[in-house]
Parts: sequence; structure tokens; C-alpha cells
Amino acid sequence: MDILLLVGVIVFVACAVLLKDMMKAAICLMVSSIIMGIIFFRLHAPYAGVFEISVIAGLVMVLFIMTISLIGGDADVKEPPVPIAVFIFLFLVFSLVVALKIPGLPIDQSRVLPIGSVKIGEVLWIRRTFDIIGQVGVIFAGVFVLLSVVGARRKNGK
Amino acid sequence: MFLFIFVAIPLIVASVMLIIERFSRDVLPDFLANLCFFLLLCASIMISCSWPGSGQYMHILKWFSTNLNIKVVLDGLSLLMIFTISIVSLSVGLFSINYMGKYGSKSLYYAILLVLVASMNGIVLTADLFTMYIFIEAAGIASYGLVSLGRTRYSTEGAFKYLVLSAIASSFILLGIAGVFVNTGTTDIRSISASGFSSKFFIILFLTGFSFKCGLVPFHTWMPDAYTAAPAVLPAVSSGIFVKVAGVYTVARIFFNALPFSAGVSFVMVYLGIISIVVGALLALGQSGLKRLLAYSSISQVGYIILGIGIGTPLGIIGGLLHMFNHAIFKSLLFLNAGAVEYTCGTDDSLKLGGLGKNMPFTSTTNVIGLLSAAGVPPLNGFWSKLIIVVALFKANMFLYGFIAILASVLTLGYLLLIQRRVFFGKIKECFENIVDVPFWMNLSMVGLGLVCVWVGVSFAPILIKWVLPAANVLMQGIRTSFCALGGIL
Amino acid sequence: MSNGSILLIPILLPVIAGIICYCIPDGLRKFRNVIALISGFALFLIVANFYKSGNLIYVSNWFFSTIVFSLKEDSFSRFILLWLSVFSFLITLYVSARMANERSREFITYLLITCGFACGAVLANSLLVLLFFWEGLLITLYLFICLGGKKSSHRTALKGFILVGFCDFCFILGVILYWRITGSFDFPDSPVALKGVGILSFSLMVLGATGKAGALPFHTWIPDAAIDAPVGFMAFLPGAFEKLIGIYLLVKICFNLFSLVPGSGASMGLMILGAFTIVIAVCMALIQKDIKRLLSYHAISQVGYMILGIGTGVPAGIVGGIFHMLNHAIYKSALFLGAGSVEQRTGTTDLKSLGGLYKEMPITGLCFIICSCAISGIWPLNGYISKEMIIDGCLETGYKIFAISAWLGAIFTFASFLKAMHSIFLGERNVSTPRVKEVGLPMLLPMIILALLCIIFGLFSSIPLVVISKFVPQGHMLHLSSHPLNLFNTVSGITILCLIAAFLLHRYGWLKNDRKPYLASEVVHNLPVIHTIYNLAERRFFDIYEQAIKFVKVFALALYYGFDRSSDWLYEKLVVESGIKMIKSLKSLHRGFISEYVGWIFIGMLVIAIFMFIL
Repeated sequence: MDILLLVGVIVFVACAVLLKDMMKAAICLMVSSIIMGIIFFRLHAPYAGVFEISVIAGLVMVLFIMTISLIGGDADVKEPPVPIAVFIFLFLVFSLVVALKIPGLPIDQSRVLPIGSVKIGEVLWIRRTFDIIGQVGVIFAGVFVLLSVVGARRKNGK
Repeated sequence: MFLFIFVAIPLIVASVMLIIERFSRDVLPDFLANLCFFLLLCASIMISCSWPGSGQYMHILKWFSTNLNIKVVLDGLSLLMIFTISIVSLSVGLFSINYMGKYGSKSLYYAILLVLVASMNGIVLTADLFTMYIFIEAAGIASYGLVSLGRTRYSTEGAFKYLVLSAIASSFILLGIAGVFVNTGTTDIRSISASGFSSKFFIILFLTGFSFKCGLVPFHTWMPDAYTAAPAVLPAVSSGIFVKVAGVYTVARIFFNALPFSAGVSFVMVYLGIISIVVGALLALGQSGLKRLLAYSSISQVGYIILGIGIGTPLGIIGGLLHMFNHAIFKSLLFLNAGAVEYTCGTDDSLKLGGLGKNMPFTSTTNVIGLLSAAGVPPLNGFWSKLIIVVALFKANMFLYGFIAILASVLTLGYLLLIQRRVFFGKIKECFENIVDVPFWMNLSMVGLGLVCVWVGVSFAPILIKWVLPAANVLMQGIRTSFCALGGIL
Repeated sequence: MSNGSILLIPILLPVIAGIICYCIPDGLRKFRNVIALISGFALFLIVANFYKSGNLIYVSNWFFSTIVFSLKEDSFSRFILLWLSVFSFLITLYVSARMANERSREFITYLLITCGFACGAVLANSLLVLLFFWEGLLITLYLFICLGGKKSSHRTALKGFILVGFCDFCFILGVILYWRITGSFDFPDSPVALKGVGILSFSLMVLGATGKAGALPFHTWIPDAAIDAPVGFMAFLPGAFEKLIGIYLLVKICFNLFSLVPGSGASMGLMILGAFTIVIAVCMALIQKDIKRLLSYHAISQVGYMILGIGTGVPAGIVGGIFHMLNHAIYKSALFLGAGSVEQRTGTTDLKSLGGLYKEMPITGLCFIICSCAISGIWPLNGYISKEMIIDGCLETGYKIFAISAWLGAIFTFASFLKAMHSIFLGERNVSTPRVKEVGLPMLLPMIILALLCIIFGLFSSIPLVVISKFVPQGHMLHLSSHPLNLFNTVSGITILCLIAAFLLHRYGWLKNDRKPYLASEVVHNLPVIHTIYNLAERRFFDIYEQAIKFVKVFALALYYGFDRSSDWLYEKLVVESGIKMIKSLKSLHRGFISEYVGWIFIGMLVIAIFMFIL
């Protein structure tokens, strides 16, 4: 299961690097960070997971999307096929290495935060509800700004 | 529940805005947004009236008797901030009724402004560093949006610059929070304070990040570009309250309440303050654009606030906090005046303007009030806070800084009077002979802020006792020095 | 102190009435005048009512309880208030008839506001409150003189403002010193002994009070104002109000704040000031050929008598001084009003072009003559009584020289008023002026009332004297049967001889100068050395204001070239140039490149880090 998630992370991160369409790249990054957050949970670091999701998936994404819309990223970009092939190759090599090496890595039990097994939902919704309100604010702000920027651009276009 | 409305109501109204746009383009958004700001002002005044003067209100929100774990905390410092935010946001909201007409969809604008206000209230009302960070970012995004509303190449550039630079500062702050979390296992301010954690490395990260949010030299570079390009309401909100909430308030919270206030922090804050005061004032002297000049002036004035708080003595903190409140009022007023000039004449370059005083009596008069207040001329509000800061400097044996602070306020008077003379006095330029004064709501909001300036100046003692002293007490608890009475310090 | 708040009425009523009057347009002039008169009369009634209610105190807090605003009313202030209200009513009545032009609105407003402030100054129970109202009077003084509407009015107004302002400044200094001594701004329960810093404080305060009343050497604006200001103003402020409140304050300073001991240095100083004021001003008055200037110099000279009387520190002198203050206010305002009436009818106040008006303006003439006799001290008018008492007080101190100066003053006073009466109302009719009519009743009435008061207070002098003698701590010792009230003794003998001498002097001068009354004083004027002094005085050589202005001009010029220009050059070269360079270099750093700005952020962070790790 962990391996699958790790693979997912790497796939999406690599997509983010390789895709030319910035919007798609940003979304790939977001997905990867969400998976990353889940991995944190599985490693008994629920707060790290929640923060990862809050900051990267929520906040930084909105920032990216705003930046892209501000500088007016092009929508019609052709994706070259070669890098993807290279990437798939690299990915296979990497996952092989991971599959062979990672399980053997020692885990320092003393550094693990003293939190028992909790559900991701519980931490996200119950322990840090106020963050959610903040996230709502972030998303609202992002949406409104995007709307206004797009509206302005449409007007200019006409 | 009552405290939570400061965050909830603006967010709800903001979300409704998009639907409202379908029905009414102007009137309903105007009304709804200003009603919301007005309600918040009333609520903040109500809380102030029932405020016992010390301690804190803490609410943990419940939803059908289930613990929602939204912890809203309000103490003296938060109350001062909430009050400031409410006053400035209401006057900016009123100003926008007429002013924002030419900047695209009004309901979208109000939605962004409401999110900004909600986020600032969130920053102030939370007791958790990470939540604070999220709200700072939310408010930041809203301000980038407001900058980009200017709809010119420059405003996009300004917004972009602001965004990129701000992202760097935010990453410092986030790194700092992460470090604190790793070392203490919590992000709750009280728990951090109880753990007694202190690390120079994270203090540096916080200082850098929040100095950027304050706009202190040399982290100020986003401010002039962003303010110049934006519609005047953004600088009024941003310089008036956002900088205070995201910069000064957080600095005070973190260094006085969360981490121990050390001599090093005090030293760095005093130096940053002094450098900002001098460089900001000198740069302002060389500008001709109203908004750009005021942006540099803001840098200089925020320097005073950080200087006052950075001294770390009771008197210094009181002076700094009072100046924060005063600066919020008079700087918003000055930016709104600049907006009014831009609204009627289409430019804010003082070299192209002249003699507007006759046709725009309200703007001219309130501008005089604002500038005298900014320069610290008695009996206006800026005088008292600057006086307290200078006295605190002298009392702390920082005579040189005290003199620099006084000299810089002379410089302030100099450049602001220069602007007043160029723009409002003298002979009117031919091309502006037929201009008329700005519409009612703009005048109303400017006159309102001007009256607050005069009122605070004439009766500063009640303000000091009601709002500033409890706030200063909160900070002083951090230094664990006992002090309370007004009689002891004056 | 619930009923104490009635003390606010004498202050607020005139001020509010003044503001209301200011708001009433010129179309409703009569209505405005009626309001002013009613408020004046109401003020009189209210103050008179104080006699029933007894001593009141009002205390409230100003400016967040930092300053105690306290008013107090006792027998002396009640007495002064009563007369303030009487004079403001009479002069309002006169002005409402005389000033028909557009300035009357401002005049009445200022008059009422001045009245309110004066009441405040009299009622003040703390030196700070007193200062507040005292300074308020300064402002109305300036506005009043500006109303004259002549070219030089503003200049004179400024002159008066600066001279009186200087006196007020001295007074403030004195008050501050007094605060250092007693530690409080309140009027003390028992007076402070005159020693050490107290002497300095006392002299500064006396300078302030007498300067307000118009004593030497800060008097020089009054003769100028006589020409430049409206005549109602002269009757109102220099004639009546400034004497009343200035001398009131002087008495307060001498006997409530400090204790003036007869024969002490302070007493001597006051008496010398008084004597000099009498003699110098009366000498100047003697040679004036304009009735208003003549009267104004007498207004100064008479202050000398009051200061002399109070300065003696003995009961007879003090009571005489206070009584003289009241008498002077009565006859001097009447004289100014008379001069104003003459000016209104004939269009001039120059003695040369007037003459024989008695037939045409009999009532004005009669009142003027009565008041002239009163000011000259002719038995049995009021001026006689008070002057005799002052002379008596001087003799009681043992310094005869002061009595002699008072007698000298009496000679010249009578001589100059003989000249005035003779030139205006008696003598031959000057053909160059057109025939005139008597003025109307509203203008006559104040003069008649005042002239009657002159006679009443002369014949029944014991009534005011009994009242006044209660104000002075030692006043109860005064024997009302003492000589000033009967005619036959040495002192009054000398006085009568003086009057006769004055008459002879006038007759001699009149005969010598071709029977032209306005030249009667030329015999004194043309005496060898005195002539030069007079000429210098007329050219304002002894006017400290003019001399100070000259000095300031020279000094300013020297400063301008010696200091200002040179430091300006330094400023231009050093501060401005280096400032501009600095701003330019700072500006050139802001090039708008994000990469640079990011660099700044990191450099800033580095610097902070270095500091943090060093400390």
C-alpha cells in the first residue's frame, strides 16, 4: 500500500515537472501532495499530514493558479511524447530501487510523535477545524480573484 | 459564537455576493457589504463596552452540542485590532460605493474585500500559529487580487511582484512555525509559551518573514509597487490594517506571547524601526506620485510602531500600539484622499495637479487633518502616540534614536505639506477648473476618518484606557513585568 | 454646590447673546440691539440678585479632571460685576444708536463677549481660570481696535495686542512663579509674605495687572487707539472695563495673593509707578489738541491715582484707589461718549475747529462739563472725594512727594479740561463747522445717567465708601468722618489752591494766545527744555513699543544678513544637496527587479541572523 502511494507521488510530481501546460502541472502537484499527506498519516504523523494538505494542496495551489492566471498561461500547449517515455523509464528504475532498498531502512522510534492511531478525518475536521475555515477563506479569495482576473481579461479581449 | 461572527459573517456575505451579482450589479452589493462592515463595527464596539479590561474571552464552538474545536480567543490586543479593522473596513467600504464603479464587477470586489476582512479577523482571533498562518495567506491572496484590480500592466506587475516576494516571506514564516511545531509538538500559542522553547534560528526566520509583512526596510520593496498600481482602497486597507494585522500584531504575538522576548529581538526591532523610519521618510521626500509617496510614508510610520514595540518597555509598547491605531486611521484617510484626487482628476501625480482645494473642500480639509496627524502635530492623534514613543525612547536612554524619531517626523511634515501645497493649494491648473467634488459616500468616509483623528487627538485618554492599555497589558504579561495603572506611566 | 452653577450665567449669558447677535443679519438691526440691551439688563438683574444669595462657589473639572474650574463670588467681585454690567448696558445703549454702519454687529458681539470674559476673570477662583479669561480679553481687544476701519487701525490693533500681550505674558510668568511658591493655582486662604521669589512674582503680576489697566510704560497704544478705534470702544475698554478688572486684579494681588505692607519696598514701587504715570501722562494730556487723544492720556493718568492709592497700603489710600477706579470709569466713559457725540454731529474731534457748541448741544455740554469737573476733582463731585482720600493716604505714609505729584496732576488735569470745555462748548462759535443738533435720547441717556452718578457719589459719598471699605482687610478701620468728606482743612485747601492755579494758568495761556482756547496750554508747551521733550514724545521717542520695533527691525536685519543668509548657504549646500544625493541614491536602488528585491530579503535576513547570533 505504501509503495503504491509512493509511486503515485512520484508519478504526479514527475508529471508536474514534465507537463508544459502549467495549469495541469499545478494540479498534478496538488494531487501528489495530497498523496504525500496520506503517507504522513500512515507513518503516524497526522499533523504533518494535515499541514501538508492544508499548505500545499490548499494554499500553494491557489497561489500557483493565481500566478498562472496573472501572467496568463497559455492553454494550448502540445505535450511532447519523448520526455514522458524517459520519465516512465526512470520511474521504473526508481521504483525498483525503492522496492529493494526502502523496507530495510531503520526507523528511529524516538523521533515519532507520541500520537496514537487516528483517522485522517478526525484530525482534519475535529482537531483543526479553524484551519478549515481559513482554507475556505483561501479558496474563496482564490476563486474571486480568478474570476475578476478572468473577467478583466475577457473584457480586454473583446 | 458571538466572537466567531467576525470571521463567519464576512465569509458568508462574500459567498452570497456571486449570486447577488445576478440580481443587482451595484446597489445590493454596496448595501450588503457595508451593512456587514457596519454590523462588525457595532459588534466590536459592543464587545469593547462589555470588556472587563483584562483577561480573555475564549469560545470553543459547538455544533448541536458536538465540540467543533474552533477555538476563538479574544484578549485586549485582539480587541484593539478588531476595533481598528472594523473602523477602517467600514470607511473603505463606504468609500468604495462611489469609487469602485470603474474597476469592474463590484460584487467580486466586495467579495474579495470581505474575504480579506474575514481573514484578518481570523488572524486576530485565533490562538494557533498554524491557523494564523493560513489566514495570513488567505488575506495575502485577497490583497494580491485587489492589487490586480487596477487593470493596468503595472497593477499586474505589482501584484505579481507582491505575490512572489510574499511567497518567500511566507515560506520563512512557515519554516519557523514548522520548527516550533517540531520542537514543542504544538502550535498553540499558550502551550508554546509554557514549553519555554526558544531558538535563535527560528526567531530569525520569524523576524525576516514578519518584517516583510510589515514592510520594514530592507523588506519593503513590495509596498510601493503594489500600492501605486492598485486602486486606492487596497493601500488604504493594506497599509491601514493588513500590514498591522499580518505584520505588527503577529510579531507582537509571537515575540511577546509565544516565544520569550529577548534583548536580541528588541535590538533588531529597534534597528529595523529606525532604519525604516529614516529611509522611508527620505524616499517619500523624493516622490511625486501621491500613492507612492504615501507607501513610503507607511514604511516610515510602521517603523515608528515597530520601534515603539521593540523598546520593550511598558511606555514603548503603549506608544507603539497607540501609533498602530492612529496610523491605521490617518494613513487610510490619506490614501482615500489620494483616491479621491485620482477619481476626479484621473492622475495622482502631484506635479500635474494644483489648486484642487477650492473645488474639493472636503478632500482638502481632511487631507490637512490627516497630514498634520501623520506629522504628529498637536492636538491630533498622531501627536500623542509619537510623543509617547519618543518619551519611551528617552526613558530607555536611547537619546539618539529619540532625536532621529523627532527629526523624521519633521521630514514627514515636510513631504506631506509639500504634497498638500502642490495638490490642494495654489492656483488651479486650467485642465482641472471644472472638476467637481467627489460624491457623497466618498466624502462621508473621509470626513468620518478625519473626525476620528480629531476625536482621538482631543480625547486620547479614553482610547488609551479603553483599548490600548489592555492590549499593552497582554504584551507585558509576556515580559512578566507588572504594571497596570495609567497614573504610573504618565 | 448645586446653586453655585448660577455663577456660570454672567459668563455664558453675554457670550451666548453675543453669538446670537452675530448671527442676526443687518436687516434686523433693531431686533439685534434689543437683544443686546435685554441681555445687558438681564445680566444686571442677575448680578444684583447675587446680593441676595450670598457668597457662591462653583467647582467643576476641566480636561479629564486635570484642571479644576472654580468660580467664586464675594462682596468685592459682586461689586465689580455689578458695575461691569451697568457699563456694558449703558455703552450698548449708546452704541446701538450711534453706530448705524455694518460694523455695529461685530461691535456688539465683541462687546458682549468681552463682557462675558471680564465677568469670568472677575469670578475666577483659580489663577488658571483667571488666565484663561484674561487672555480671552486680549483677543477681543485686538478685534475691537480693528473695527476702527481706518488705515492705521490694524497697526494700532497689533500694537495694543503686543503691548497688552507682553503684560499678560508677564502676568503668566508671575502666576507660574507664584505656583512655585505655593504649589497651587488656587487663590490662597491667607496671603503670602513678600520675600524672595515672591517679590519677582509680585512685580510681574503687578506689571500684568497695571499694564492691562493702562499704566506706564505700556500705555502707548491707548492714545493711538483713541484715534483709530471706534469711540464706543474707548469708553468701554480703556474707559471703564480695563480699569475695573485691572484694578480689581491689582487689589487681589496686593491683598489676597500677597500681603502688601505700608512703607515696604513693594509699596514704594507701586507708589512710584503711580506717581510717574500721573505726572507724565497728564503732561502729555495737557498739550493735546484732539479731544479723544486728550481723554485717552487722562485715562492713563487717572490709573496712576488708583495705583498710587492702592500702593500706599493704608486704608484711606486703598479705599480711595478703589473708589477712584469706580469714579473714573463713570466720568471717563461719559466723557468719551460725549466726545463721540460731538464727533458724530460735527465730524471732527479737533479742538481747533470746535467751539461754542453749548447752545446747540446743551445736554451733552452739561454732562461733559459735570464730568470734566468731576475728573478735575472739584468739590462736591465724586472725583474730589477719591482724590482727596488718595492724597490723604499718601500723606499718611509720610512721603510728601507723592502727594505733591498728585497735586501736580490735579493742576494739569484741571487746566487741560478747562481747555477742552472752553474749546468745545464755551467760547466763540467756530464758523467753519456747520450748525448742529442735539443727539438723540439713546445717546444722551447713558451720559445723563453717568453724570448724575458723578453728582450722587459726590454728595452721598458715604454710601459707596461704606461698601468699598468692607473689601479691604484693613478697611474697617477707616473713619468715614475723616477730612475728605468735609471741605475745610489743609489738604483740601491745597487742592483748592491747585485748582485756582490751574484756572490762572489756563487764563494766562488763553489771553496770551489771542484768546484762542485750544492754544491755552501752549505756554507750558513752549517752555525751553520742555518743548524739546514734548516734541520727542509726540514723535513717539518715549514709546517703548516703537523703540522696540525699531530695535527689532535693526536686529532682524542684522540677523538676516549675519546669521540667516550664512546658515542658509550652509543649509543649501550641506543639508539639501546631501539630502538630494541620498534620496537619489536610495531611489536608484529601487529598480523594480524582483530578483534584486529577493536578494535584499536574503541580505536582510543574513544581517538579522548575524546580529541575533552576536547578541
